[in-house]
Amino acid sequence: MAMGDKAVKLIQTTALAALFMLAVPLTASASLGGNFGSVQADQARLHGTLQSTANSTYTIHELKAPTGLVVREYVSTSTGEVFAVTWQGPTKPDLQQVLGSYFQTFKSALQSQKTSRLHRAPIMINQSGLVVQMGGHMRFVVGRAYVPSMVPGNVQMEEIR
Amino acid sequence: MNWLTCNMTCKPARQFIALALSALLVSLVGCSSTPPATSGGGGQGGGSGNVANISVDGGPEGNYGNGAFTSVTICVPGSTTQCQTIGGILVDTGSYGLRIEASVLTITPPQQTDSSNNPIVECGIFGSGFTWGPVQTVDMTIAGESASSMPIQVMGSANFPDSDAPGFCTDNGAEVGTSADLNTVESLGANGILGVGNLVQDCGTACTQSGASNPGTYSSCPTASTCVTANEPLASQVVNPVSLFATDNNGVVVELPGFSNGETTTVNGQLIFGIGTETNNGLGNATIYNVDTTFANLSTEFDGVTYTDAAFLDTGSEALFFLDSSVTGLPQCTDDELYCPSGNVNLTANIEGFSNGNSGTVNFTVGNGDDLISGSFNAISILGGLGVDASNNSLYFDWGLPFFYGTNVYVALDGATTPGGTGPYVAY
Repeated sequence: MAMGDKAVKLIQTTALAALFMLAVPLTASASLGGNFGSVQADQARLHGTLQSTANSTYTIHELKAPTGLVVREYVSTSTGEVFAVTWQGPTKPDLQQVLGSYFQTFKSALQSQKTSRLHRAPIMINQSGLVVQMGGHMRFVVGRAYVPSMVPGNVQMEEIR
Repeated sequence: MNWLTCNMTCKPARQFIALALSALLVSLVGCSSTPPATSGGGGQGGGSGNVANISVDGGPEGNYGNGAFTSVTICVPGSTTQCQTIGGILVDTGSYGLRIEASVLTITPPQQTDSSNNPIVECGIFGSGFTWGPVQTVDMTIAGESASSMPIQVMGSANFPDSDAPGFCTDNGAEVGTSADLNTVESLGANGILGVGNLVQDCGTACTQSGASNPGTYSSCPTASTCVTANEPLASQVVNPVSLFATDNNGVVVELPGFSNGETTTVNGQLIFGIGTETNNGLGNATIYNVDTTFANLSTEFDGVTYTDAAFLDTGSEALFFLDSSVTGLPQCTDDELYCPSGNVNLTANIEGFSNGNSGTVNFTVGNGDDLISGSFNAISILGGLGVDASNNSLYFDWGLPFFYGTNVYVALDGATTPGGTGPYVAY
């Protein structure tokens, strides 16, 4: 189940690179469906450190913000696109930032969801074009979002954490 | 209750009957206990000494499955006349502090301000959504316990509308007006939330800091639309009321009786304050499972895999939300995130302390979520659903209210001294 056995490469960014990333225009921020440039934009927005782990199918870019929030962005090796984003921490990231162009889809799906007798349950959007799951409890918030059609064929969704 | 049994085609009628029945029950409770000027139905509460009554009764809207409700009395600080008793307050071991919907308030507690005299307004992030509203100060009483000059959050205040909340809080408005917007009684299904979990403040040290280390939970708002992140001192943060009690202040015990057949109309229990401080809250032979001090989580092993630091015991969760279909083999319901096996399925997991080495087996049952949630029963012990993937290489395991039926659970506060050692921990 663990990712560790698949990891073949570890890339640590330098302080210089982090400084450069702060100069990336915030308008470039568009993670899900974006490219590595959008990962860098997210890093700047989160004031985070970046650690990248790659296997033959995808690279995980793990952003750690000073608040304790951890955001992981999964970039496909073949397409260069971010096909999944996950987060965990005392609070959540700005979803407009991490969902990028998929934010409007998320917004529409959430607003069309009916209320039920489930009042305090995880938030789940499950569409053919977008899956978003959020849950946890106060001071422990977790979530993930992915685009099913962009997930590389040989990737099991249990890997996306 | 068999006469209520019918298929999905008569669901509206069932809901109406359930609503009418809840109203009847509420009025009966109201007559027998005569609480002072209680607002809203559900969880009329009452109690004395260190014992507050709690009820799984559908809540003030009569439609809340698996919510334990109580009542609190709040006063303008120092006043004995500007007071209000509010029922329908959800008991939540997954959060910290008291939150009240603005629409049920009949008193006006003073607004908390910063050193520049600007109002402090807060964003509360829950697993199920967000709250937004001003921090105000009250004297609170529950059963025989009191907390003076306590900061609380008022949700859904007209003075600070959701539309002005920070983008991260409302997801840039995406969650405003949806089921994730907890700032109305209708959406929350409760008049308020009483957060009595393991931690003391609802944010902690991070919110006292400047710059990027501050998650932005608290805002300083010269006007509703000009809020900026506040550096909120620990003593000013919305706080677990138990930590402010003069005695019985090291934790709580949640006692809800078990029941047969997986579902029932109403369950009455007790929220007892203190651990080992009175004759009614001793640990006995309960096993202690410590939780971490950042997330207040412990661990759970299921089917040979341990989900480390990603499990919690949460009265505020309506089901056992755990893992996903690929791990459990249980099919997901069509309409929501519940599990929908065709019949009841018996499962086993092990709860493990975060770091104290204690481990215990839990046997539990998951039934058909669609059938259970569409019925008229307020308490459902066999309700299960999907958890969400955490990013630390684990799925999460939310032991929600079904876990508590028939098991007395002790929740010890972070840093508190108890006969079982220093908190935070849970024990049962």
